[in-house]
Amino acid sequence: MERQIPDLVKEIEGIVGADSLSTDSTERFCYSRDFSFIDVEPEVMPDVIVWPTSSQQVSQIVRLANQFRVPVVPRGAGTGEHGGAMPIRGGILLDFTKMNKILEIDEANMTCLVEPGVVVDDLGRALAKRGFFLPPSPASSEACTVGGNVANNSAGYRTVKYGSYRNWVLALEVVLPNGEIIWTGSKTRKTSSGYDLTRLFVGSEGTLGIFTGIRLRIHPLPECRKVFLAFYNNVDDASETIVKIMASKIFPSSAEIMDKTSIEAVARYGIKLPKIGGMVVVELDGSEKEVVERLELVRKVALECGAIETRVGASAQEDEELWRARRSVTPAFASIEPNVIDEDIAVPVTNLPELFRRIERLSKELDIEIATYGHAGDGNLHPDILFDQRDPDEVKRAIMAVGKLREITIELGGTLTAEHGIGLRRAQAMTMEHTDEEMNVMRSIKRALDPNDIMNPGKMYL
Amino acid sequence: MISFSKEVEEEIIKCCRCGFCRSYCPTFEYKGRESWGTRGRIFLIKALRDGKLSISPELLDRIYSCTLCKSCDETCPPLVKGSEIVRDLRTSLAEAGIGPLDGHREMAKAILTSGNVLGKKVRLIDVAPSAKNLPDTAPTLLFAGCVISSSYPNIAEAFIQILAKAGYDFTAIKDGENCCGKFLDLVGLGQQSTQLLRDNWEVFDKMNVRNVLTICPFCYGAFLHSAPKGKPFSVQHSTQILLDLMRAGKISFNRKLDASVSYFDSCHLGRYEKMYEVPRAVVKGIPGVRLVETDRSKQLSRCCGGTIRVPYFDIRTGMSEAIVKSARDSGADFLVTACPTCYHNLKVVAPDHDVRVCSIEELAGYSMGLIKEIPE
Repeated sequence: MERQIPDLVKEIEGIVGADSLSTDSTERFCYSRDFSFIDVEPEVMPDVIVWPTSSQQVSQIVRLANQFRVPVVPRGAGTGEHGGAMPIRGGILLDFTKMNKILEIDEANMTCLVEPGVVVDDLGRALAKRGFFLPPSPASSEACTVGGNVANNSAGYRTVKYGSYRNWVLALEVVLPNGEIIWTGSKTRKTSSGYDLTRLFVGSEGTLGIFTGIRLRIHPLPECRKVFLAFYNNVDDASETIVKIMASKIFPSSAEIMDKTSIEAVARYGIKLPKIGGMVVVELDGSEKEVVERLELVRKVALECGAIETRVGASAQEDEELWRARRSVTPAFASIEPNVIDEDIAVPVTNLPELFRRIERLSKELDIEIATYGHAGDGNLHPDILFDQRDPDEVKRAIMAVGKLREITIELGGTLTAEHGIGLRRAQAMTMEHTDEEMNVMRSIKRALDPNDIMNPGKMYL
Repeated sequence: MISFSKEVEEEIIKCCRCGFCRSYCPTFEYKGRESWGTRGRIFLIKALRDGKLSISPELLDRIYSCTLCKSCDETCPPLVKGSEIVRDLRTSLAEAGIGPLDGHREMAKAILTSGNVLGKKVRLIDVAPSAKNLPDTAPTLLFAGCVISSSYPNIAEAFIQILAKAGYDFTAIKDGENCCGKFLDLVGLGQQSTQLLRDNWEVFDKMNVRNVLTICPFCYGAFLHSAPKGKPFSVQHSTQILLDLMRAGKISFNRKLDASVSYFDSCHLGRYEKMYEVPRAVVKGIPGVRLVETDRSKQLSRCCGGTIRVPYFDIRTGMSEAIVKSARDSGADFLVTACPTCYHNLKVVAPDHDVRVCSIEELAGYSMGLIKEIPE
């Protein structure tokens, strides 16, 4: 392959121009990693990075890659925590930073059409100006891209009411591994026509094709949003609260939980929070009357479950400050311990209290800090393992904790990743959750579309 | 091999590569490539420290193209001070004889020979007519700074007239100022910078000055943080004096300016010194002015790229264009700055974007009827 690279680069240069690619080792080195903590040494660099600006360019490049049998790795902002954008077999890295246009916001049809490199918050601001929002919005929305979100079926803190990206993608323009361009789905809000290719491509992590156009459903902004906080002596009472809120048909737009260390991390942003064992954050949306009524119900449940203090956000600005701090929790842990492994497990909501108990036990057994927070309303927790890479024994225990967490999750009927994806870091664990037969179906799909295994190879254990 | 102080080492370790800085780093905004943003830079610096990469012209470009604007420091979730990491590395590179770049060395030479970063030995009294009328001694010294003295004496002239009108007792260094040295500090020549500061303080002391008044935020920060301990020196920025005089009723803004005005927060007055409200209060004091905020203001303000103009002229231009465009998009007729470096860089690109750039001193001078028109 190595000898072919200069020829390939020359041909790509003919497609995008010399200014839109780089083979400089300084640049390539930076593209060897994303947000994930993965012990790959030394870094594997892409052979060439390309910044395409159109689906035609992507199609031509992928066609070439297929001819040359060279891997292609698409990348949004590189904010994934599972190594999905790491070019572990070299090849072409397609950085979509420059395909960042919002092409259409269609109010009557309640859809928008975007290029994959649009930053999620940029889209959020553009939609808000027109009175709309896109409900799935991961914590990294300040930096991550819609393309990366779709590729990982991302979700975020409003999933409990609105669902993840799979519920919001209507249609996708996809460049297939042979370079052909297709549109999945339909512009209509519903379709029964043929296989649901859209849902197949959402969450495919760049292993089946590359999105170059994304049509999303959008939702009108609610008349009112209010944030409710409840504080507890321990996280058990907090998790009981979540179970009861979900069972009481309150239907919050967000139901989050934080343990002691997570609260400490959020407090570093100047958010005034008591030093306490657990916290629940509930957001309600709808008409003001309805929100106020349901707030009272939430407060009642929280107090019944042992809340020692409850609070309602004083203003939309205060709520936004809290959400911003909340969105920064995972990277903020790096100011407590230098290294973080961010897990993304989910269990049926009723198993949450048990999951918390087991995480606490595991932390004690392995003598390693596990800070846990997450979108508890849909059973999705982020137990984050905090450690110092400079201590080899601690690294060993951290990695052991990841394995044990996965076992616990499966035992409790859960999933290994609710919204981040499998990527590289969880690839080996795919068989913990999926039977051989299930894996065979996935591998058959992969082989049918990408027989030469050029699309983001080495990910998802395919 | 490059090594870092313990504090900076901790900063490097804290970077978890979350990439949030992508949305704030101004050089990343212009280039759109990882290596030109904070995450990329820190990753490269780690690799340099670990011997995975060696010094190359490309790598030096990434190190010296950082404007040290502190945008990443303000927004980093684990609170990594990216600017400290880059600054520390520049110091090490200078000590190792690798840095700074040739263009920086020329500027350093210009400073050390002429006393001015632009290489022109200028006396304020030759360029700002009202400076001639100032007394030889006074408790307050107006320190105009390199950019004002050599390129924009009109700003100094407006400010001197304002202060004179208020009956403010101040003097200036009439035989030519000596650079505050901030630029040298930014490119890693900390020792030379400290020497310049020391020389300046000696001059101030000899002149029996107790209050140093600056127009340039670089000079402001440099003097503010180096004032000799145990002596009753104070350092003020022009915007602070304008607000003080306005509130004390010693100056009054009477002439109306019917316009939407966006105040641009310079890095060195904003993120470095956290002075966001003082200049806004001055701007709001001008009758007729509607203060509009752009999509990125205060802590999140963009950077004009002034500190990397040499040698990254193109990046500077792109960065300044982004600022002027955002002002235009927010409906501003005027983009006001309290920093002569920003003033220069924004003025260079403004004619293409239908937004007028002016200094806060010019705006005040106009409203006080001291200058006829705000210069185009």
